[in-house]
Amino acid sequence: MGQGLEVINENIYYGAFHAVENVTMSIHKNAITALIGPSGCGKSTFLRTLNRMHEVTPKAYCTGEVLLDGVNLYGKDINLVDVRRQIGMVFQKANPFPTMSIRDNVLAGIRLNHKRLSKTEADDLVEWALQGANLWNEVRDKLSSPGIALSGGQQQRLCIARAVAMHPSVLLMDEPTSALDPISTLAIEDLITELKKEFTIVIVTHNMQQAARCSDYTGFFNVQGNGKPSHLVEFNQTEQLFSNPLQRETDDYISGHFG
Amino acid sequence: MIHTSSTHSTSTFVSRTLCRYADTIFKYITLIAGLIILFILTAVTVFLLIQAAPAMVGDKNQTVWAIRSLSGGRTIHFWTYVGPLIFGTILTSFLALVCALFIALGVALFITQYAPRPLAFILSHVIDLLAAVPSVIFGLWGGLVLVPSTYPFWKWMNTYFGWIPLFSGQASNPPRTVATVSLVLTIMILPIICSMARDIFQQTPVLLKEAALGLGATQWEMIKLAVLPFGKKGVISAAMLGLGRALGETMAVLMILSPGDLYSWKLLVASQNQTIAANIAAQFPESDSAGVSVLIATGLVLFVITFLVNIAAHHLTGNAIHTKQKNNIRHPLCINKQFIRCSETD
Amino acid sequence: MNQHHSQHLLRMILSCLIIFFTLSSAGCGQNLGNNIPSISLPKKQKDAVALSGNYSGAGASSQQSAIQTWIVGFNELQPAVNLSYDPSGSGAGVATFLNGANVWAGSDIPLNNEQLRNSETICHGHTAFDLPDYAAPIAITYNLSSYGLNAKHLHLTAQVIAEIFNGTITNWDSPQIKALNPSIASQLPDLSITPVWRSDKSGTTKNFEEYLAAAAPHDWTKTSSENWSYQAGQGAKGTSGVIQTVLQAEGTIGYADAAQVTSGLGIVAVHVGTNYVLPTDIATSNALSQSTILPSTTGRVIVSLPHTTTVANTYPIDLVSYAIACPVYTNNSKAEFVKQWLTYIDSVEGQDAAHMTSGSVPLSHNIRTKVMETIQSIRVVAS
Repeated sequence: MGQGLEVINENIYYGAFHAVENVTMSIHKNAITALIGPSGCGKSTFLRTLNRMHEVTPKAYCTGEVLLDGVNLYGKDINLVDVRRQIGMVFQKANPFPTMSIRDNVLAGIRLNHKRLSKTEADDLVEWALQGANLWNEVRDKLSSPGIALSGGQQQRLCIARAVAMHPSVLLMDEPTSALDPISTLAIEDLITELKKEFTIVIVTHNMQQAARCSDYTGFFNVQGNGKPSHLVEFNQTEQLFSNPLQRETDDYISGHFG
Repeated sequence: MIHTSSTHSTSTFVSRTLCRYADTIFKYITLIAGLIILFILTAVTVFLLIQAAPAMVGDKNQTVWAIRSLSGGRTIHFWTYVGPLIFGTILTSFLALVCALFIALGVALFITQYAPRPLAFILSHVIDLLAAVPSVIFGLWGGLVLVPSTYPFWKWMNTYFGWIPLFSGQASNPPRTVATVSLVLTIMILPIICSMARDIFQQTPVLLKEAALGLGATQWEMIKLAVLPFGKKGVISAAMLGLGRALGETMAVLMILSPGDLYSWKLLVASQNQTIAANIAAQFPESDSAGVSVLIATGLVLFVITFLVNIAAHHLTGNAIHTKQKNNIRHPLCINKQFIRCSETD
Repeated sequence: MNQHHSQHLLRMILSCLIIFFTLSSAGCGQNLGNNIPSISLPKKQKDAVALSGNYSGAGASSQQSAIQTWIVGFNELQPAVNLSYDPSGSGAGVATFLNGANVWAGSDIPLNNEQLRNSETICHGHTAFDLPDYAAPIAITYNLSSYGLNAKHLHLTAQVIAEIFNGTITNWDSPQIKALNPSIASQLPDLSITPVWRSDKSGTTKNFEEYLAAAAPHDWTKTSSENWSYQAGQGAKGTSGVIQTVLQAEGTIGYADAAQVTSGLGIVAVHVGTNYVLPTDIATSNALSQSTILPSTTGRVIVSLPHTTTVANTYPIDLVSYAIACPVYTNNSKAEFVKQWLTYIDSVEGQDAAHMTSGSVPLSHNIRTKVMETIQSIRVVAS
């Protein structure tokens, strides 16, 4: 089952540069939270801090707290690897492991956990994950073919299956459909609507119509000018935000005055 | 109507012509460059064949006499003469490759994945400097420094691991053996493999690494999942390059190894093996024309071995290219083939 | 900055080592060049024709040091002549002589039949001749320094030497060696013998093997050749390689040009007659005097060393190296040069000069007489 995330007073820095300031939000469990905003407004940066992926970039760090079920992910004795196993991620460009088969791709994360699965258990898991990613029917006959032998949309769904197979509490998605054609995009939007029944989903999207279509909650990030950090302008239920935004900035963005 | 701005149209005509022909000219320059390489290779092959011809198909008596003289009376047949040389060449080279590969990969991974930037910078340049040291220096260093100082180590290996056939026999003193030579060869080919591996690992797409990290992989697991599989073909290619250098290495072997003509696996015993290249260098100065022919014939054998190794390398790495092309995702613009050249699979 | 420093240092080390390597691979000892004592200056030959031009030779590296000395000495006689010698090895030298690139060749072994036949082209129908111009003793050197035996000359007979070098005797404290050296028998260690031989083709090997085949025929059964015939021990490239290998470990024993054996290594005294002889100049000179010259109708002077001699104070293991040239020329100045050159290098003065700088032993009177006879027969014919 999905869990909720509490973000309290988070500030993100790249070395001396203050990138995003003072974000506080509640990510509700079993719901889709969308993060929208213009390019460079820090929404992807913020998303990556939720599973501590920003630490891959040298000199990036953040202050504040991110609580998963009451436990601060940035606590002193928290294992980075555990965080990422609990909070899965799907990237902007599909990145299945090219030298592995579809089956091995789905199982990649599980195998990292050193969990010993019998062959039947593994097969069941693969089927479940691929079903969940709406990919099972298309690949059930070619599970041993390479992961990159699929189309773009299928590869992205494979990545979703790979993340889902880990049974994460939260699933983060960084602009998952920006590189895909409209048909694949629709398929994935349908998919995440299904997935929210089991997982909590946070999705960053450049396309606010997508946010309006799919999400339950939306957060709007914006830049504040040259050299100044970005900030979270407004966070509300999606319908509210789009029909009746509380901030002037939000209204301007939604009606297309900038972006 | 006649154009009044004739100068304008001439200059555009000239520049347009030049533009069009620049392409053709460049194409022919690159063609010539490619042909020159082919020509040089053919010239070398032809030289080897012509010089070796007297030994292969010429006066049998002279050849027999030459082979008898070169082999110290051991044999009169070419293949019996060159057999142990082939064995020695392959033994020393592959030993060096196995040792160098693991160390080089370790260093390359350390430089690209673990080391802080300043340390990585220094290490990279030290490795490149090592690659620039001439073979003669390695040979001298090996012969003057390494040989006398490594005897205790080989003695120790012989005492405790003598039950393994590789380390059996009596460790020779001074240890002018295949073991010491392979050690020096390892150091010589290490920089080549390391530099190439480092460049390959550096090119691992960040997305691939993040895919592994996002699943909760530790640094080492990420390397196993993303970096190593991505770089596998490139590393094989680097290894083949290192192997090529080891196969042809002359000076170091000449100055360190005590040669023999046996098919022997005993790495710690001297006077067991000899390599083709070192043998040619040793025997060439004092050989007559028939002897030179025989030696060049052995050089031809080495040439063929290196050639086969390179083919094997291409086979191992080339396969990957073909598979990738077959499984390429259809480029969106391929639907309308006017705009870009699509691969054959579209 | 660091990289520049390290590269500069590397270059310095590089150049020093290359110089060291080149010198040590020269095959012979010091190259003193101009420091020839006045006693050895060549006598100005009466009516000597003045010569000029470039003449080159190539061949055995054993003669190199001596030839450098001779070049300097010859330039006293003929300042306008430019001489050079490439120590590329006997085989290579003879090859370049036969194809006309060099005027003379240096060789550790006399010409074989095929080479003789081929020389008829370059010598206008006549066969080339070989004249000895360099002789030096081959010392048998060993390393037992920590047992205090390097200063004491081990006594060995030809049979025992042969058995050591063919791998039959494998330990220093074997009864055969002990029997020959009763006074130091207790000091001989229980250490395996490592014979060291020349891995490259070498005249030194051929001469050493010829000695063993003649003096110990039951123990040395392989035909003597320039390539070492047995497997026991280790092979090293060049005289310097052999000496370096002997130096690097104890228990080693090898053979090399006596002049180049590093002081501090042991030298074997070889059994001759009733005594044991060291490779001194006098003993070698005696061996040369006792040599016979193989009969030849074409002016070849091929020395047969007295390997089985029993005459006292004769050292029978020697290297004799030859100069190879044509007896007939179409070019006057070339013929004149060869005559004067060969006369000088085989003269008393020339041989003494070489002795001073390279440690060779001057040729004995009997050999030189024959050599001069052949030199007199050099003539010019119409082309």
